[in-house]
Amino acid sequence: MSAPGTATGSALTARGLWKRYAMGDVVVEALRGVHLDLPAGRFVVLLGPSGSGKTTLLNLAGGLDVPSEGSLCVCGHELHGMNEAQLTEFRRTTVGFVFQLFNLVPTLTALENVRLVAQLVGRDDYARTVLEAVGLAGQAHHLPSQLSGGEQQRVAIARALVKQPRLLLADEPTGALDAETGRRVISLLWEQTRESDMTVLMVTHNEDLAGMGDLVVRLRSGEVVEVSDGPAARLREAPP
Amino acid sequence: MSGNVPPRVPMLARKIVADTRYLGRRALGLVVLMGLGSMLFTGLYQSYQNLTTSYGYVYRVGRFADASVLVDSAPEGLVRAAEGIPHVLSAIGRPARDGAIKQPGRPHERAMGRFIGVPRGRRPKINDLLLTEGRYIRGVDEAVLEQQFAQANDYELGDRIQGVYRATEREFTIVGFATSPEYLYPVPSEEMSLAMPGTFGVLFIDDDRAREWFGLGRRITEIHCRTDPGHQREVLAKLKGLANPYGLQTGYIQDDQPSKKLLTMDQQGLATLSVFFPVLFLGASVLFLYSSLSRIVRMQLSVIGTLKALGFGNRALLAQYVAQGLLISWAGALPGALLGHGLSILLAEAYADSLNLSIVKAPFHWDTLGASLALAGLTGLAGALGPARAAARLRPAVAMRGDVEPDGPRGRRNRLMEATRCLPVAYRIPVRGLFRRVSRTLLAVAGISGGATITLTTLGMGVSTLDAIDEALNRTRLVELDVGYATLGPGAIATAISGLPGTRAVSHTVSLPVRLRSASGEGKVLLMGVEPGQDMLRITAAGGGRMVPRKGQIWLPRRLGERLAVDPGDPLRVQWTGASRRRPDGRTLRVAGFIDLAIGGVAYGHYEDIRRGLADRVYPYSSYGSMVDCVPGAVSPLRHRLERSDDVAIVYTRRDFQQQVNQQMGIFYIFMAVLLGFGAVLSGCAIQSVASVSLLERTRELATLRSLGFSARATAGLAALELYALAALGLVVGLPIGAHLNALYIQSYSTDTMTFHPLLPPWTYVTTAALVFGLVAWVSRAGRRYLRDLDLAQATKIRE
Ligand SMILES: Nc1ncnc2c1ncn2[C@@H]1O[C@H](COP(=O)(O)OP(=O)(O)OP(=O)(O)O)[C@@H](O)[C@H]1O
Ligand SMILES: [Mg+2]
Repeated sequence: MSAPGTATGSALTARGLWKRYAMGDVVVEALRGVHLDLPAGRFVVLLGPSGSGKTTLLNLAGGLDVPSEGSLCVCGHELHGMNEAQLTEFRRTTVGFVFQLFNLVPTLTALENVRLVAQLVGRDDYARTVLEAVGLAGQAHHLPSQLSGGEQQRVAIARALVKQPRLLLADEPTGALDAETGRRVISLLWEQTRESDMTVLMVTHNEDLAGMGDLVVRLRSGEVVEVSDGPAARLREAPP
Repeated sequence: MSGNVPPRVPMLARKIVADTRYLGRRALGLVVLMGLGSMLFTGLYQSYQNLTTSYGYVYRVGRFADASVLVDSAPEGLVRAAEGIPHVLSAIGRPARDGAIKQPGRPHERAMGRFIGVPRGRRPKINDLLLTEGRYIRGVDEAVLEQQFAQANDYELGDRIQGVYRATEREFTIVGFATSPEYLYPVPSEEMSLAMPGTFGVLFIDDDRAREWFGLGRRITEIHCRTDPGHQREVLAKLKGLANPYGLQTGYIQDDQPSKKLLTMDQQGLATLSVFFPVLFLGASVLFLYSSLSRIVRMQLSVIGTLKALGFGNRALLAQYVAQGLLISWAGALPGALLGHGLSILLAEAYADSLNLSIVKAPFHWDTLGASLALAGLTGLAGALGPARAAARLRPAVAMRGDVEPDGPRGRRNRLMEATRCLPVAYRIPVRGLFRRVSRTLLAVAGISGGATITLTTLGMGVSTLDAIDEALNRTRLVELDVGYATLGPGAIATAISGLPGTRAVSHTVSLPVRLRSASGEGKVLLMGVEPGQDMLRITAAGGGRMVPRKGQIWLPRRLGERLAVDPGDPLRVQWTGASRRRPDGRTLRVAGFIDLAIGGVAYGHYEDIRRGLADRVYPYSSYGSMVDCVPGAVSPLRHRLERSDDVAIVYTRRDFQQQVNQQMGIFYIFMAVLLGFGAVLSGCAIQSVASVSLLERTRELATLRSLGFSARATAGLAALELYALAALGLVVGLPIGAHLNALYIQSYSTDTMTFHPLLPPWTYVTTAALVFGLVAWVSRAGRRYLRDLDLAQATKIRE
């Protein structure tokens, strides 16, 4: 069930992971005993029909929510039993998020949105470099409302990258973008992470984009039904 | 848009109802707030109207005089001359004198008495009585007693009552109790408007008996006229001219009659309150409504965008949110106004009850109801217009994207960007948050500063008032008993008092009302002569040092001195107010200096000087007495001994003063507490409304910060910072306004007899700031809880 890895260690290990939502008398089982090992340094694409539990899994991995049952270890951190302070610390140092709706702070400029996080982790001088890397040097002083959707998402990616998280979580980052822009954003994400040992876990509905992952995980009804190497994996393993 | 358009309006109407239901507790709170505001307005204003009607009834039925003059004594023929003045409809003359009422065994064994002669068996044409019990006089030794005094002293029909006038006594049988338009609020004169209830009795007696008793022959002392409307002043001037040779003491038109003047002032206070309190409520409602509707608009951005995309016009959306504001306002205002009607009846009854007035007219005042609803409508409009316009102006594309651009021109925005560049990035969020919606920030600052203003002004009023009372009761007067003599000069009585057991010191006083004339002005004041050696009245002179009376000099209240434009050393013509060409009693004194007491605009002079130079010559218009200091236990026995003496007209103890003050302070404390509560509510509403903007409406933004690794505490701290900044801004604006208002308020309330010092010690500022910051802390604690319990997974997804 594991794929050959280049980087050492495991980015995510889930054992018997359950997530239940109580909705009045009805209990919705969003995840039903998920077993999953993601080696570090991969670009993982998470696929599955709507309602299959992709967002739920991502939220658990990022410490935004807690599992109902089972254990979850992210980059060496056992999330079960962490208190709020520890979770905050975990989010601050270990994971990065890219949201479907970008979620930029509307009163801060592009650069400031990136610096916001850069300062949080003590890497202020690095912010501009990352913003340049996503191709937005020219728009550094624009407010989110003055940027296009694709540009906003690039800022969001820069904001996630600037703290160099070990695990980057992206939930349909292209969901609010047109196909072409979406592809360019994902390429950018791919380029920015392949040099490092950062693990990317990206949810998408777009089967085309699945081709960019070096590992593809498929969920159905809250269960992992397939883990396979993507085309990119072979690309990465190829000798230079 | 055409064809099947009509259904959209009912659907939008249904959306209004659904949105209002969504607001839930907030909507309910708003309805209650509006209801309270309109209840208070209707209640207070209608009771003002009801009282006006009731008083008006007494004035009308009692045929209240339009113009009156009081003289030393004049021939009866003067009435006919008065009737000849153009625009005079009718005139009466009557004898009246002041003396004492002896009533052993009653609460006050001795009281001031006014004896007024009225025709026997025939009701007076002017200033008639309104009998509340019993009947009108038929015999020469029958009397009708003013009913408030009667009640305070437990009189019953058939009781005998003893009057004393210049050592001659007459006894009467009480056959009736009455209210009179002249004594609806019973005060002896304008100078003695602070008289205590139950110490001033008006006795209406047969006028032949009165003349005989006063030794007046066929003469009279008062002329009262009814005039054509609008000619009161003109008639009064002519009347004064007629009366001048006969020792004119005073003259007034109906509105200046002491009782009516006081009642009117009192009522004006009620009218002011009836506007002031509700305005506070409505102000808070505006803020609350604004924030609630803003919240709905923010939450419905994509709905608004979609509605617009579907073809709804700006005006339809504007109307929708305005309608919602009006709906909520009127939902509160209508029941509030109806409750207010009930409240007004209760209030007016309670009020009239305190005057023993049973005639209360309480009709439904449609004009007030209308005004109340109009006020509520304005409130709804004021609160809803901002959010409604914001909704209407949204461009659909922006709205559907879920982000609202910060408003304001680009230039200003850039300057703001520059200005905040020195801050760490995280801190730029709260600072820029302030400028995100400038109108909302301004509204919040207005609310907070309004609250701070009210709080500071109220505290200032309280401090100044308590200080004035402390000054009057404790710091300047060490007098245990104030004794008024029934005779001219101290005579044997003063010596007798010094000999009574427990007495520590006795000091003579004399007083009379005088008119002062300087080179540039004129004024009236009560002039009091005190002995230079006394130590019971410790009055500080303006500029320091003790006020010590010296021969040939006069100390003036500071305000009066300013009005007369005199300096120390300047000569001042001092004349008894009743002086006339025939009796030019007066002399010239030099200004010794000024005194700055809050209560009691009295001028002081040297006892011997005032006595011989002025008071002795105008007796009985001057009064003699003494201040007595005694050991604590001796007050009551001394008082009783003195009240039994025929040489004593009246005795007040320090306790009497204190009780009277405390009685009046009860209402004052409640008033203060209510005002402080309002200050807090207003600030609270303002802060809460901003808090809901910076927390609830920015949930996604804050949740994102948290998922980026900011702790709940840090995130809440950022949001709270914005609140603290707003609070600070509100204080910067509100405190100086409050200080200014306080000074203005006190100035507007200062008269010749009352000049409060505008005091605002540092603690009042500190308390105000603490209140505002305390509210912020309280609100942000709730915010921290909210952020801690936030479901991050959900919150990062929501479209705000
Ligand atoms: N807060 C919640 N309360 C109740 N049920 C929930 C909640 N969040 C998710 N669910 C349910 O859990 C299941 C999985 O939801 P999830 O959001 O993980 O799906 P998804 O795979 O991300 O779907 P999509 O592709 O549509 O985003 C769904 O049936 C959903 O209805
Ligand atoms: Mg999802």
